Order: sequence, then C-alpha cells, then structure tokens
Amino acid sequence: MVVRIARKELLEMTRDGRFRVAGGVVALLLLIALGLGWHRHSNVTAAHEIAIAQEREIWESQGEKSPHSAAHYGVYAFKPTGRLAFFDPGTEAYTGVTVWLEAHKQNQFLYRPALDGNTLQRFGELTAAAVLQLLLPLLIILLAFSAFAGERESGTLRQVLSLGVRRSDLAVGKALGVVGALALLLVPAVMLGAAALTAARADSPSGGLVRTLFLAGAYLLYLGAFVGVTLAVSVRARSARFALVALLGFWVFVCLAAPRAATDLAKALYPTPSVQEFAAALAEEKETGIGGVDYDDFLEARKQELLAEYGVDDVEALPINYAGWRFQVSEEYGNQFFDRHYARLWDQFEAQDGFRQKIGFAAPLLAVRSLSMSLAGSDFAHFRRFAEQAEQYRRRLVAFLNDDMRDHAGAGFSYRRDQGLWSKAPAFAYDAPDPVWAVSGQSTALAALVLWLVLSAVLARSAAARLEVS
Amino acid sequence: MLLRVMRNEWRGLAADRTLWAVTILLAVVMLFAASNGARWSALQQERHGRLVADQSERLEETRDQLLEIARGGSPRSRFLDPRNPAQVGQSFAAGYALLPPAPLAPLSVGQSDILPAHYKITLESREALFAGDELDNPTNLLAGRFDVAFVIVFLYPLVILALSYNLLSGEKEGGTLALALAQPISLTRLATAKILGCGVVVLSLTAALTLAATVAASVDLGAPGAFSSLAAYFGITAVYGLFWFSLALLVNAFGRGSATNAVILAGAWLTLALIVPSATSLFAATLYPVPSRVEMIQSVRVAGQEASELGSQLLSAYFEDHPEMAPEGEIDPRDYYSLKFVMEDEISRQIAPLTERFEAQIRGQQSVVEKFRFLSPAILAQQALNDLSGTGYSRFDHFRSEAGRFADEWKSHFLPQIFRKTVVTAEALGELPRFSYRPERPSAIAERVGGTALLIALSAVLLLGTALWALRRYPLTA
Amino acid sequence: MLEAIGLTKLYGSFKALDSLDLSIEPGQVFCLLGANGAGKTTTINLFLNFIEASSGEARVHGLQVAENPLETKKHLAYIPEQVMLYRHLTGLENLEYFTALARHEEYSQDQLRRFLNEAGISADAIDRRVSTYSKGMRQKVGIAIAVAKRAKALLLDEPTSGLDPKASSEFSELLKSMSGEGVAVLMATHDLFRAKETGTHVGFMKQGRLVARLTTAEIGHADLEGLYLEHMHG
Repeated sequence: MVVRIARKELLEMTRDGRFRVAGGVVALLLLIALGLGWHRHSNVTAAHEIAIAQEREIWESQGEKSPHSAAHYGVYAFKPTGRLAFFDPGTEAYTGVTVWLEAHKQNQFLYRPALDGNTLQRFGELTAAAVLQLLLPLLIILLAFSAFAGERESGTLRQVLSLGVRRSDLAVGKALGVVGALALLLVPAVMLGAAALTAARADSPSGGLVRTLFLAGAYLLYLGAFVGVTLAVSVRARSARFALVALLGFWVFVCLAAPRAATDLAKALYPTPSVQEFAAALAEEKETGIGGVDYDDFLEARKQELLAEYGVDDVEALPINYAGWRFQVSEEYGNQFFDRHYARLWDQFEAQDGFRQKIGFAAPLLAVRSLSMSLAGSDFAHFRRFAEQAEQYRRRLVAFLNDDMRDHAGAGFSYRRDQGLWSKAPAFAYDAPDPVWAVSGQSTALAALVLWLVLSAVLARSAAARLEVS
Repeated sequence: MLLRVMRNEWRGLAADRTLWAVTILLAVVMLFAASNGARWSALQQERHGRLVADQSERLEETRDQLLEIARGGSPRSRFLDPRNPAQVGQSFAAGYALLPPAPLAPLSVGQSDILPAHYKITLESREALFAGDELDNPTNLLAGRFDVAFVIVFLYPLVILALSYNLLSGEKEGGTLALALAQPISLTRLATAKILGCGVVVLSLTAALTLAATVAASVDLGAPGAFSSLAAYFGITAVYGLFWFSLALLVNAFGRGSATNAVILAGAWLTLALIVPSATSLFAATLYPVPSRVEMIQSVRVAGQEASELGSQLLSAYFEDHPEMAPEGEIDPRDYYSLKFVMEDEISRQIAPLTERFEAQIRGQQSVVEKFRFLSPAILAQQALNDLSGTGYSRFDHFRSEAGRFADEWKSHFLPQIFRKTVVTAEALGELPRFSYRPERPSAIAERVGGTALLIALSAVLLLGTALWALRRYPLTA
Repeated sequence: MLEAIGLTKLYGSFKALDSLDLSIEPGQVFCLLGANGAGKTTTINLFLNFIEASSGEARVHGLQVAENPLETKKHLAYIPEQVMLYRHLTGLENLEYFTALARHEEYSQDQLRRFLNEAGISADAIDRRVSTYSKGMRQKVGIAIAVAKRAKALLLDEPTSGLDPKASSEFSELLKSMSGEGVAVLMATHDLFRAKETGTHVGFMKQGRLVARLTTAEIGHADLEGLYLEHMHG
C-alpha cells in the first residue's frame, strides 16, 4: 500500500512542470558546482604541491650563512586542502593559505583567498554543499507542501480515506515519494562525485571514503528532517497556500537568518581581539613576563642551570657556543607567550563554533554545515590542527638550527654553515586527521540533526494520525 | 478613486493577521540588526581610540627617552635605540593609518569585517604592510552578519512578496475581483491602487523601522553628510521595494493561482538574491582566475635571494639612481638598515609585474561584477547600502591607497635619515608626517549610489511596464 | 437597455456563443434557461467585458461594451452565483467600498444602512464582518450594491441557486421591485419556477444558440417545463 502511494506521488511529481523545472535547475546547479569545485580544487592542490617542493629547494639553496640567520630566513608552510573540499570548501576562502615560520615569532596566516576575489563572494559561494544545504530543502518544500493540504482542498483526500487507507500509510507513502523524487535528482550527482573521488584515490590520505559516507549520512539526516517538517506542516495547514508560506518562512529562518544571527550572537558572547590588540597584548606580556619572570630573569635562571651542568663559573669557559644556546633560550621564552595567546584566541574561535553547533537545535542548517565542513576538512578545527603542527615544526626547525650553532663552540656569531646543514633540516609533513578525529568535536551538531529527524518524523506521524478531512 | 481602493487595501491588511505578524517580526529583526551594528561599530571606534592613544603614548615615551639620553642617559633597551632613525620609523614612532567610520556605519557591516580599517605604518614594504588580515573566526566571515542592510536586502523583499503574492489571485479566488470589476474601474487602475496601498504601508513601515534602528544604533544624524546619506538610504530602500512589488504584480498578471504565484515569486527571490550573485561571482572567478598567492610568495623568496646575493652592489646602484638620498662621504656596504631597505625596494621592483597580475585579475573580476550587477537588484541594493554606510569595497580600496600614500611619505621621511645616519632628536619627533584621511569626493559616492539607484529603478519600471501591459490580457474568467 | 447583435464567442473551434441577438428593454426581466455550458455565463461575461467577443457586439444603454468598458459598467450591476465579499470587512464597509468604486461617493452612512436594510439585512448584521454571513445575506448585499449604484441594467448569474425557498422568494421580490422601477434584468438560471414567477421573458439556450424566446405571460408553469425539455432534447 505504502509503495503504491509513493509511486503515485512520484508519478505526479514527475508530471508536474514545477518539479521538472525546479528539479532540473537544482540538478544543473549541483553539477556545475561539483565541476567547478573540482576544477578549482585540482588547481589549488597542484599549486600547493609545486609550492612545497619549491619552498624546500629555496630553503636548501639559501647559501652560506649562520644557522640563526637561516632560522630568520625561515620557511613558508602551505595549508593543504582536503580531498573533499571540492564538495564543501567551508571556511577555506576565509583562512590564510600560508604562514611564515621564522625565528622568534609565531606569525599569523596570510592571504585569505576571499580578499583575492570579487565582492560578491559575501553573498555566499555556489558550492555543491550549498546546493544541498540551501536549495534541496527548498525543493523538498516545493514537492511536498501540498501533499496533504492540496489533496484536502481538491477533495481527493476525502475519497482516498473513504477507501479505507490508513492515515499513517498515507504519510509514509508520501514521504517515500518525496525521497524517491530527490533520489532521481541526487543519484547522478552522487555517482559523479564518487567517480571523481575514486579517480583521485580519495581513500589514501585521510580516510576519504569513510568521510564521504559520514557526509552522506549527515545530509540524509538533514534532508530527512526537512521532509518530516514539510509533511507535518502540510497535514496541519488550513490550506496549501498557508502551508507553503509557513514552510518558506521556516526555510528563511533556518537557512538565511539563523546563520547570520548566530555569528553576531557568537561574537557578542565570545569576543575576540583585533589583530593589533592581539599583537599588543602579546608584546606586553612578553615584556613583563609570566609571574614577574621576564626575559632577563628567565635567561639568568637558565644560565645558572647551564653553568652548574658544566661545572664552570663563566660562559666563556663553556665548551659550547653560548650565542647559539642563548638564541634557543630566547626562543623558548617567547614560545610560552605564543602558546598562551594563540590558544586563548583559538579557543575563543572554537567556542564560537561550538555555540553555532548548539544553535543547530533551533536551525538544523548550522548543525549540518558544521558537520559537513568538518568532514570535508575545511572547518576551523582542521585549520587549527594544521596551524599548530606548523608551529611545532617551526620550533623543531629553529631548535635544530640553534642547537647546531650551540654544538660548535668557539665560532661565536661568525659561525657559518651551508647547504650541507640546510638539507639535513627536518622537513614539514602535515599529519592529516582521520575521520574519527573530525567528527569527535561534532557531537552537538550530530545530536541536533538526529533530534531534528526523529522529532520531525514523530511530528509528521502523529499529525497524520489526526489528519482532518476538511 | 485610487485613494478609495488604497484605503480598502489598508482595511484588508489591518484586518488580516499577516500584516501584524510581519510588523512585529520586522520590528524585532530590525532592532536585533541595529543592536548588532551598533555593537560592531562601537567596538571599531573603541579600537581606533586605543590605537590613537597607543601611538601618542609611545611618542611621549620616546621623547622622554631622547631627552634623557640628551641629558647623558643611555637607551632603556640594549636592542632599541631611539636615536636610530630606522628604529624610530620601524617601531618607536610607527604610526597608524585609520579609516574614520562613516556616520551610517552601524547600518551595514559590509566589507568592514574582512578589510582592515587601520594599518600600522612602518618602514616595511607595502606588500608587508598590507598583507596582514584582520583577525576573525573564518566561520564568522563565511556566514556574514545580521545587520540592517541584510534585513533590507534579503528579508524586506520577502515581506513584500508575502503581502503581495496574491494581490490579484487572492481576490480572484475569493470572488471579489469580478464584483469589483463589474464597477466602472479598469483592472490596471485597480491593481495600481492596490499595489500603491500595500506599498505605502510596507515602505512607511520599513522607513519607520530603519529610522528606529538608526536611533537605536545611536547614529549621529548631526554629522556632516549623515542626513543626506540616510535620505539616500531610504531612497534605495524605496526603489528596491518598488522592484519587488512590480515583480509581484507581474507574476499576478499571468493569472495563475495564489500557490503557484507564491512558488514563482519564492523562486524569483532565490534566483535574484542568492543564485545570481554567487553564480556571477563564480563566473568572474572562472573568467579571471587569480593566481595562487603561493606562487607570489615563491617569487618574493626568489627575488629576495637574488637581492641578497647582489648585496652591496644594490646599495651603490640605488644611490646612483637616487643621488639625493646618498650619504655624504663613504657608503658603508655593510650597513644593516641601508641594505635592508634597498633590498626591499629591489624585491618590490622585481615582483611588481606579479603584483600587477594579481591586481589585474582582481580588477577583471570586479569588472565582471560591475557588468553583470544589473542582473540582480540584491547586488545593487547591497552595494548602494554599503556605499552609503561607508563600508563598501571602494571606500576600503580608497583607504588602502591613502594608507599607501602615507606609507610612502613615511618612508621618504626616514630613508634619507637612515642612509645619512642622522641622529633623531626629541624635536624631530614633532616633525613626523601625520596621517590625515582624505575622503573620497562626496560627488563620487553620490554618482555611484545614484547610478545604482537608477539601475534598480529602471529594472523596476521595466517590470512595472511589462506587468501593466500583461494585465490587459488578464484572464478574468476561470 | 441591454442589446446583443450577432454576439459570438469562439474558443478555438468551439462555439461557446453563436450569433446571439437579444434586446432587453427597461422593466423587462429576461431569464436565460439552458443546460450547463449552453452559453448563459458567456453571455453575461461578454456584457461585462470580462471576455472579448469573437464577433458581433454587446451594447449597454446604446454603447458598445468593448469600446466603452468603463462607461457601460456605470449602468450595469452584477450579481454572480456567489456574491463574494471582503471577509474581513463588515457588510456596511463592503457596500461603501463597492459604491465608491462605482463612483457614488455621495451617500451618507445612514443612506448606505438604509440600502442594506431595504435589501433585507437586519440592523445588527450590518456591522458584522461578512465572514459570518450566510449565502442569502451575501446575495442581498449584492442587491444593495446594485440598488445603491442606481444601475439601469442588472446581470444575474444563477443568483438563487443554493438559496433556501424563503431567501429565494425574498430575492425575487427585490428583483421585481427593481424591474418595477425600470431596470432591465438579464438572469441566467436553472430555476424554472423562479423564471416563471419573476421573468417577463424567457429564452432557451442550447450549445451556444438561443433556440427559443417567449414571454412568460404566454405560458403557464407546467407548459414551461414541457417546452424546456422539448427544446433541450429536440
């Protein structure tokens, strides 16, 4: 019976010009977004790989200089883009692509791609994820707003129910019909995406296949919730027109107003400093030190430890290059402040993102967006992981250079090295996280989506059970 | 007669719950948006104030140090000497270029969350001075802000469409249209009067709420240009509203049912407000792809390496080109600061073609946007509202060039002193260049906003004309 | 007052109305009888200029409808099968609005109330919203609109279908008094009894053509039904 109803719904929809036009447009936009996303992503990835190779070459060929000068010369780390970012580039346009790793300093990332684009980007990007997050819910509303309200108006509901059809069967059948219609649209796009991923060996670095499956799951929950809500409203609405207007209002709240409102609320609840304030606060604390221990005190304490270790009274008597040792001490002194300040800043950003996940209970878009970006590796958490690893690498590299200097006693400041040392310096390899790491911070978003699906299904079912004929 | 129909329309609206619901909703979102804008704007102002204070404090301290040294004291830090012009230009006296917020800034966040409204001006190269971005959670930037401009560009059309999607179809379905048209009034007049009635209500409501938002956001209406900007803000809102009313009338003129009209209008809104802008953006980016910044960094690195290999040769070449900068007597080829700035100059020169390529591509994208912006009234309205609030791209672009001008001035003040190893004195601190923002010509802004308003008005009139023409074939019978 | 000359309406090759010739003088009540789809409503829509004639012309007060759409409507009043009013407004407010549309701004509130009263709307119902009105009451508001407009011709499209016998008879009385004051009435109806009662003339329509016309004085009620069936099957 349920299947009969679903088939009739599907047949009606495919014969309806509105569905054909709207469905065709959505499918076309999805394909364009996927295609251009893939194109952009391949370009970025190719440029990224070249950059990494070139950067190493530049590093190694920097010529003869003191290792500490080499540390000042530094290297650039380039943020990789995840395989699935072609589907959901998330925050990529708004995070810098590179960071300069140099002695003494943890720098900010540079060059947000959004600043290298046009002003229309702020209207939102046309990505495959955006089509799934914004347009498919609208399509669902369009397909199903009149499911009950329309049949009630045209009187067919009266006849259908007079035949002894169970109301819950009717609801499930109609839901399946909508799902079937969506599948008609999505299957080609999903197959295309999967084929592209397979061609790119998506499974290799960071669990691309598992991430893809998780992504599919998240979107199914999200879209399922919209089917449920739409049917529930259609059952309850006085007229098809009212159902449509109410559902469009719901869409505007969920997909348009809530994400922006969440930004302003998040910024008000978890304020962050401006770039100048951040730099000033960092510099000030570095000047005064932690707990009254400033650089001079810090250095003095370490010096005493060093002298004690070698059993000498004066740095001149040390069997090491004191200048090199001192560079490393200054490095370690400074790192405490970077750790504190960057952690504070980034915790605040994560608190904002966490708040957004909570708003997901009111507006499921925020939940699915959070999950989607995270699984595509394009959210702030992935950026932070990369930034932290890059910083750890900076410290390893600088320490390697300072230590080399330290271990060559007698040469003082004029100690110089060449490519022999540069090529032995550690290279940076980013350890991309596995899918479990990606979703581990997304439990709130996941809970919100599951709750939405369950609630909307219960709502639709209970409404259908009390379905009124006129 | 028009007034009669309009009054009837008002009665209908007043009796219907929709208008009240819409009014309350709009009032709530407007006030929320105003408070967001006010908070953001106040924060920006406070930050500016702190920067100004920071700079004068720093200058004061440097002056004290210099006086102390003049009296025979020694510099407070081993590494920093306030007598060294390079260090004064680089850190002691480093100034800020600040973009003063426009009076209506609280009404539209625009690009102000991503483009800096202040730069710290040191002796670094322009690329370095302008490379730093404002700090913000990228997820915030992605989502955008809930400001008054957002309410007007996105939500206000929806209010209009919600009240007018069944302008004629509703009366036709309710049966009153036939009775009304059995009277000696033409459909065109009836429809015009109805749309006017509805329009007057929505427009005055929006104007009142925007005014309330302006007051709530404590905009200083006495500031120069504030009042005319606000008037222009209302003007843009009015023509933008006219566009959506005309669209609703046009869709009604096809004679379809109310539900179909709602679907068509929702689709049109989606297309014009969301899909066209992002598709245009994508199209522009595809047509004028901006090269990867990764490539730029590599070029800077390579140029830097070449420059350092040339080293002292560069220094003598530089003084050959700029004899006015050359120190008297011997050139010290190992002078750190002289070498540094000469090398930076060389790097900037080397990568200039690449920088130019970046800028050309960005300009190319922006020209596509300019060419196709008429396709979406939402783009036009957003641009105009940002322009009026002083948060549009062009104002920031202008500010950047102003800051660049100041950076040049700053550099040319210090470079000769650096090369000649002039000793900075307390008096010299009083003669530093100061940044004063020269705003864009008001007529340039007026032209831009006026042009945009004209484009919106034109498309509205075009739609209205088509709608009135289509009404002549309105199917009155089923 | 109402005049059709060779009036024809084609939908593709389908003749909804086929060369109708008709003339209704002041004081006459012409009842159009016929099956659904015979062309009765089409005729009324043509007089109202709601649809365009394919050929021929409709005239009101000697003026061609298609050329003077607004002028001719000054003389016309229209009462459809369902008089639909603005549900959120009261009966009085509805009447006020429609008479204003008809360019009769001269009435005071008292006069408007009197029109409604005379049409049979009780005093307490006048200030109630019409969403509470029964069908009969809404038809009476339709009459009040027509009276207030001082229409010279009345177009009625099955105005009594679905009314209870009392309401229907009150409605007929109102019609009679209007025709007594020289109003020309064209009424499409299925109600043979009412046609005989109120009509001065009847016409039978079939497949877009007016196949017969008679004066009601010539025939008794029983004869009318016989004639009707004869024409419909013949």
